[in-house]
Amino acid sequence: MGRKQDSGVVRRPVEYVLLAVALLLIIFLVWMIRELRRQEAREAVRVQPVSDSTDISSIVERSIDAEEHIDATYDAWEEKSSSAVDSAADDVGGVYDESSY
Amino acid sequence: MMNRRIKIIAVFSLLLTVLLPQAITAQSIQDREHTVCEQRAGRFAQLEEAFTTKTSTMNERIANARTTVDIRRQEIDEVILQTQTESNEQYKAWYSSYLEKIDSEVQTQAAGVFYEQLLELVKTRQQAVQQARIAFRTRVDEIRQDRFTAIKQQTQEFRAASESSFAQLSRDCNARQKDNTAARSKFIEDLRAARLGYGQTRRSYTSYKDQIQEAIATRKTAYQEARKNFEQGFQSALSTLRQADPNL
Repeated sequence: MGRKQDSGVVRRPVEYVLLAVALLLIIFLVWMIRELRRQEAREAVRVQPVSDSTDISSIVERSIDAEEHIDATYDAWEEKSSSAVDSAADDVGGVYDESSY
Repeated sequence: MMNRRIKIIAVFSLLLTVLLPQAITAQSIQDREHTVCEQRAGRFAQLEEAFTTKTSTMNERIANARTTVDIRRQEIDEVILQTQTESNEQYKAWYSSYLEKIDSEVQTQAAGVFYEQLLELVKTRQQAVQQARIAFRTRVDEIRQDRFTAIKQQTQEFRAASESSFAQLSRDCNARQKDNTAARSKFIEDLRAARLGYGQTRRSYTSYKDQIQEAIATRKTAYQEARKNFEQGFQSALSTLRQADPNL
């Protein structure tokens, strides 16, 4: 009924069939996953056409945000623009030490 | 009689021998103290020089701050203009791309109307923002100007108070007061009061960062208003375009 291998394990023909089916199943699963991913990618491209309203909306949003960000950057600089003058004015306060007189 | 005269002369001589050196010494001490007092009062020249150097540094920084602000604003304006130009190019690119996707005359016409409306809305918003930006800068300039004027005034008052202490000491020296130590103590006290008073004024003065927050908040409100108006107009224009192109 079976053949004896060199290792001493005996396999029946039905086992070969089962192994082949399992192998085919694995190959099919891998193929199916890859195909699903391809489909998802195609879907992603399809739902983002150039003419989509979210596209122009996001362009507009980005433009306004960019402009407001420039002003915010300037504000941060402006807030510190008087520090050199303040530091010099504080330094005037150390012009003498009365105890030295 | 002769003996009495000799006695008187002897006593007088003795008194003269004892008292004269003391009187000379007292005079000498007074003269020396007067000299020290005058020397002390004369040290204002050094102080005046130090005041001049430090206030010059401060005035230079005030002038530099104004110049730097102008340069910085120019740079910012260039960046804003560049950003606006890039945005306009992106709107144009979107419009060209959209025209390629649509096929009917109605849709093409609707797209043209939408694009014109978009550009007009962008322009209106940018004008409103620019007005708010100019108002902000004007207000900030006023705050900075007031601040620098106040700082200059504070340093001038400090210098005047210090000078006044020296002038008082000089007067006390010339008056040849018996107690020069008291004159010095008064002088030191006045100088300390002037210095501490200036320090206190400096510490109690609101920081520039805090001073401009109101101007920043006012501009922010104007920006939000401009954005809200823009978005309302944009959504309305987009809705009209969608009527011609339901797939949009």
